[in-house]
Amino acid sequence: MHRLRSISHHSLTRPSGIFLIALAVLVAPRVYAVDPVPPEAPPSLELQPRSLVFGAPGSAFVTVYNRGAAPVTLNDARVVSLGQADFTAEPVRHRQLAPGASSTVKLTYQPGSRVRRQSFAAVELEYEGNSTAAAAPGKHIQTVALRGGEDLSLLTWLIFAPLLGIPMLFLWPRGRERQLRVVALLVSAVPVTLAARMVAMFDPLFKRADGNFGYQFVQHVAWIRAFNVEYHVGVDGLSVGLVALTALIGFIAVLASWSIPVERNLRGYFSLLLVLETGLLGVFVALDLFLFYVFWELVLVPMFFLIGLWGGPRKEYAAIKFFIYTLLGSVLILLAIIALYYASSPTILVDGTAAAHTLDIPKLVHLNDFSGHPALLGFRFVNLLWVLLFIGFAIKVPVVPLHTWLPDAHVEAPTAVSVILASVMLKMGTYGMLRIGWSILPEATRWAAPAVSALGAICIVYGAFCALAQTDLKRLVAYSSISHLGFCLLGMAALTPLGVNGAIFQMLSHGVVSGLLFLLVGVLYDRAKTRGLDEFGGVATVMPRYATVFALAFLASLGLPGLSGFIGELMALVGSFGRYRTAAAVSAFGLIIGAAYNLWAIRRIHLGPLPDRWKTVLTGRDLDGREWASLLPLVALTIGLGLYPAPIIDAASTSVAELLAMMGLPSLGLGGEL
Amino acid sequence: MHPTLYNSAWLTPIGTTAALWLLPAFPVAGAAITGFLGRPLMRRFGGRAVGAVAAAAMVGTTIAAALLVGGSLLALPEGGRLLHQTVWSLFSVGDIKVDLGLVLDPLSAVMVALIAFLGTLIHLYAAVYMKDDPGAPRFFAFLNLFVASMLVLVLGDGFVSLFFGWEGVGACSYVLIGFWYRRPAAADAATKAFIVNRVGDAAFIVGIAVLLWGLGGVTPMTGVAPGNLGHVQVVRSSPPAGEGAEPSVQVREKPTSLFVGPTLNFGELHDQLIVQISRPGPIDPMRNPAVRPAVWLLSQKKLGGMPLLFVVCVLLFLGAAGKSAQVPLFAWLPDAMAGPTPVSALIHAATMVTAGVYLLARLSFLFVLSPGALTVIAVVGTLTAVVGATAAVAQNDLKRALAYSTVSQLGFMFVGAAMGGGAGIFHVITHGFFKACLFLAAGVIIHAAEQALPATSADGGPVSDPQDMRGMRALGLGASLPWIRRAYLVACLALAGFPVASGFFSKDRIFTELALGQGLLISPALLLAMLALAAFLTSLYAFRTYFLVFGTGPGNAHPAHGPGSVMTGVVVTLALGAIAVGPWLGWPSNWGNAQPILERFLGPIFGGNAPSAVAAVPVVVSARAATTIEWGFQAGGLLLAALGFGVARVLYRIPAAAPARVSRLTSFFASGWRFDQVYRVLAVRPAWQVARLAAWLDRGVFDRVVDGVATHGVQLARWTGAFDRRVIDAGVNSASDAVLAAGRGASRFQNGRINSYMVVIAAGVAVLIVLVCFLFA
Repeated sequence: MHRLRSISHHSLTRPSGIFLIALAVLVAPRVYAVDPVPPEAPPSLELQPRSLVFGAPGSAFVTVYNRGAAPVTLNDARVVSLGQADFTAEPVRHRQLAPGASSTVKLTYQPGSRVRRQSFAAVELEYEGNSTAAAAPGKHIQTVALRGGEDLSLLTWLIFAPLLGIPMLFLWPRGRERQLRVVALLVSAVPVTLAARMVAMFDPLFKRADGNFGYQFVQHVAWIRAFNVEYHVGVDGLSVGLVALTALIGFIAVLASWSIPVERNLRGYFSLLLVLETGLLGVFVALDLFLFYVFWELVLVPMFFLIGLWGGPRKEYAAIKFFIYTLLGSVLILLAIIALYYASSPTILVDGTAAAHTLDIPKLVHLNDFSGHPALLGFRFVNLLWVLLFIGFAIKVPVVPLHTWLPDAHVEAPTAVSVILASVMLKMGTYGMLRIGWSILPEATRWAAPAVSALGAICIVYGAFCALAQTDLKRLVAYSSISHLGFCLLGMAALTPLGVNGAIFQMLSHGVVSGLLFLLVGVLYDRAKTRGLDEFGGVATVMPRYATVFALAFLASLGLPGLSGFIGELMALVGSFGRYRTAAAVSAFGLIIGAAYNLWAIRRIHLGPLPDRWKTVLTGRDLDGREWASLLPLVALTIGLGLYPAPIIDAASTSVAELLAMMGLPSLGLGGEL
Repeated sequence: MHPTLYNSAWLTPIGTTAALWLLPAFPVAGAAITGFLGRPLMRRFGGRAVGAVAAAAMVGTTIAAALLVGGSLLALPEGGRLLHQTVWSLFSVGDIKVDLGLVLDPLSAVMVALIAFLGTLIHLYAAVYMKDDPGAPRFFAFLNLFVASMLVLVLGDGFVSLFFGWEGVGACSYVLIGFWYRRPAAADAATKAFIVNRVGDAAFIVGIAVLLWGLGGVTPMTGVAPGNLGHVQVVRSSPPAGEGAEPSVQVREKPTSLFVGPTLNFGELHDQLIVQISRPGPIDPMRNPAVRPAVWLLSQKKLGGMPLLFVVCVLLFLGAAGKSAQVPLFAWLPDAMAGPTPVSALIHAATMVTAGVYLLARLSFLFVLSPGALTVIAVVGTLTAVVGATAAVAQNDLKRALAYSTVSQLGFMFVGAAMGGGAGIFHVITHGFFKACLFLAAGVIIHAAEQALPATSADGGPVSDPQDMRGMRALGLGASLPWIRRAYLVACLALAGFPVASGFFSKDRIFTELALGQGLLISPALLLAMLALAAFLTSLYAFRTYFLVFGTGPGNAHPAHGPGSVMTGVVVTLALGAIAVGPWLGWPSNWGNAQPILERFLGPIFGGNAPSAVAAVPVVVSARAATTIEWGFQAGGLLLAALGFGVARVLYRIPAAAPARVSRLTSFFASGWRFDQVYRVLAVRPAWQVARLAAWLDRGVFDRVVDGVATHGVQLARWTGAFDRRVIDAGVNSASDAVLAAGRGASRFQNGRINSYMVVIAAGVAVLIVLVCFLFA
């Protein structure tokens, strides 16, 4: 645990220094002024050990030593738990402990259900010094943290595996930089295997009632007690696919970085890429708002440098634009987080210590109701917060009209960074909406959902029209992202099972398809050093294999059934029609424009006669082995998800049903009034 | 207590499971082999081998179809004929469960048989026709996939499975139309075909969404909340209503559950639309009138001021219209001629364009609920028939003439589909044969013309297009391609509707059903007249092409090289089919037949529809009058066909001097009524303008705002920077100077004398007290 903590601290020094200071300045006075931490119990009683870990059902003992000079009475031993009652403590009634004596309390771990899960609880030992001579007479409480279940560290290893590879990159001997690519590839393969293990172990039927508020692979320890911050990670149906996608895309991004020349500081490049991957993985598994925010910001910095240092001709402009835009979003999210923190009700931390407020996402979701909170600046508290969060996340998605950083960032970014940006980073926005905005503020979500659906429809149609007008292939693909993520918004706003599941599917599908599209753009750019749509034609003549994959990817982007793009769009459209007929109909119109820009792209690159200038450049330079290696997994997923989407939707639908149930909406049917 | 439901004996039969996946699996396997191994195969054995693999896959499908239809399906009793298979589950969310399921019922069986048979013949032909093309592996892979998609389309058990095939057909046609992708014309035609199809598809998807939304709601009898009854018990089968109801005994012997609510499955949709519900208690139509819950639900809702059912049907019809090239979405079809000829034959005869007719037939139980939508379909179909026929008469390009002929015939099919479905499907079958024959013959003709043409152009004349019929007379094709000429003539007779060729029977059915049918909101007289005109024009353009291509002319100097026996064999087989299928399947009842075979076979599909039409007031036509009407239409059809033939013979048999200038009307017709221009003005140009506007908005407004904010931010930073240096820094500096000076001054107090310190402390305390008292009080 110590190692873990030090790593986390290390990783958040730069990006979140500002944040830490800001938070300290904002929070510290109130913490110390308003909510004094209960005074530490007198050291006369010592518990050993302070935490107990049960790998399997069984019993263990806590030994209580009276180190003081006065006798002490143990009054009670209570198990405190927020979730399942898997632990029991031996009853303790008025047990006298003379000075220097010791006693044991038996604790038993017996999971109440056979579902695999992790259990967290604490046992509170209440005692009183029964002599006025003792340092502190009266009742006192000390706690011992309890933990049960198996293999708790899978996600932690998954998140930090890329980070652990960075020292290797820096220790690699000078003059052998060429092999850094292989090293980075091996490092990025680790999260893929861990993610595969996670997917294999994931239980799609795991419900809230099964424990840990419905999260699996949970790791949960207290971290920064001053602000009640915990290290809390876990996945559910909303995030499991995204985590797996991130690991895969991280690996593919390394493959796609092969063409970055050795002179351009590969060490730095791959280090940043790996930091980025840690940040992205962290965002999708963090279940504590502080931790979430740390990872959220951790993504920003490497992305900024990757675009700004390894980008195209206007890289500075694009990088700074990206940075400022997203930082603006981050500030809004931060404000909302702080407000949520202070509005939250008292609870206990995972080790049983009392906490006046909490940043724990499941607790904020399930144990807090913010709807009655007094108005702020004349707005309803929940609505104001929802809007802050939404804007913050919408910048990341991006939602029109906050989207103009995206085309510039994409055009200037190197291929691998574009792939990560489109495939994974944009999903941080939609995921954040669902995980935080939708879940914590359900009432405000219902209030705002019609507006979100309208924004979704606008994104779909506006993005598609913008894509149609582009003359740069990469810009076209960038705008297509805006259009596709509009379907996510539409589905999420529908608040029907079909719609929200469709949105989650669309996130994954877009992750796969847009990754493929940007890889293909990179393939062409590597050879031709230009992406002008009007400069090409007939490329299929000389690069038939490339043309095949290209057509497949653009048809997937068009939403062809049998390829992954279709399912999400269909579900979002059908799922939202019951609620928003106009928005859904307008979005369906986007399908036509989508066909137009995708087919028109194929037409201009691959069909027609091949201009003479490309004959020598492109002939005999069809896809090579490394490019195939980076494309094939995504091609397979595009077809696989398109033909057999059931696993993804099965994994998501349990969580979605519980999300909707929490909002008081039916988890059946197609709509009705909100 | 659950409400009692009873049905009218037309519920979807339970059927048995069968390995239906085999049908599309053969061509998929063929596509995999030709696609991935095609190149080595071609290097080793030549292009013919690739075609042979593809054709073998089609033969496999045909055998499988024969076994499944002939063996399994026909073995089941009438009314209980249904084979089904869930290939896998796509997703299941809440109460919406979507499977990739296949169903073989009489309607699918007819389509499967047609697709397998014609597909096989066309593949055989193509194996020879395309053997020398370097792209043969790609061609045959997609030709196979095309057929596989079409099979999934007609076998699909619900909207989603159907749509998989539906779009698969679209994508394969995109690749095949654009097969010679280096030619800009082919590339543009492919793109256009796909985009126009997508227009229909978008409407189709919205139609599904509207339908699902309409079915989710509160049922009248129970008030069950989330909008559906879930699975309910069917407790009794009432006797089938009306006469001629053949299937009566087989339907669901035991009580079974029935789903009422939003569904994407055709069977579930069909059953809940025809099932009736009554309050708990005795089923007594007098005291306890039955309600169709789903129909009631749908009729309660409106969308944009229109009845929901009408909206659903029109949207689904738009989808069908895109695929089946109806006005106004037909302009892609003539352009699609840019693909190789076997593709044209496949698109026009057995697959793709028939998909729309199939959809209407498959959903006829839904469409009959909306007389408004049926009227729209009938009117659009009639218009399409006329537009296509006029355009076909004015074409000089052989393939384009045939393409517009398809457009026109599709109009007939849609009218037939609007009148109940059976006649439309019948025309799909007969048309499949004679149109495939015409196209494949055209392929041979054009091939021969290509070989013969360079010689003619050497005379100094302009090098003419091998597809231009005006130049063909000189080539003497009639003499060099005798079998092709005969087959072509037979197909023309069938197309024109001469008895006893097949087109006569199917066209007659369409006319009769239109005249006798109810359910339209307008009188059929005008439609009948327009269709009669189209029928006359059909005969005219059919024989016009025949006389232009095979007519006697001055040339005959360069006998063209004949086609191989395979190609001729295929064309002749199709011609024989064009004669045989009509009489076989549809020998009319007034000619001494109890019930035509096809009508009887499809009875379970369409039989339940007629009585279920809402509030249709039956206009009683006696059987005798109906027979008279049918005789009348048969005579009229023959007359129109003969008239068309006569006019064509007079005008085109003998070469006429080319008119000095093409009349305006002719060029209007030839351009397909200028629909391309209409598209350009109403859709393409506005779309580009909006796109450019959006791009400008992005660059010129949103980005400028962002950049402006940034620029001003930087400016503000400069100002604050200057303020920082000049004001604050200056202030701080002077303050620090002052502090230093003060320190120097104050150091004088640091003199070590206690009493002076005491004075200072006292003064300080006094100041603090004053401050605390007055400022913080």
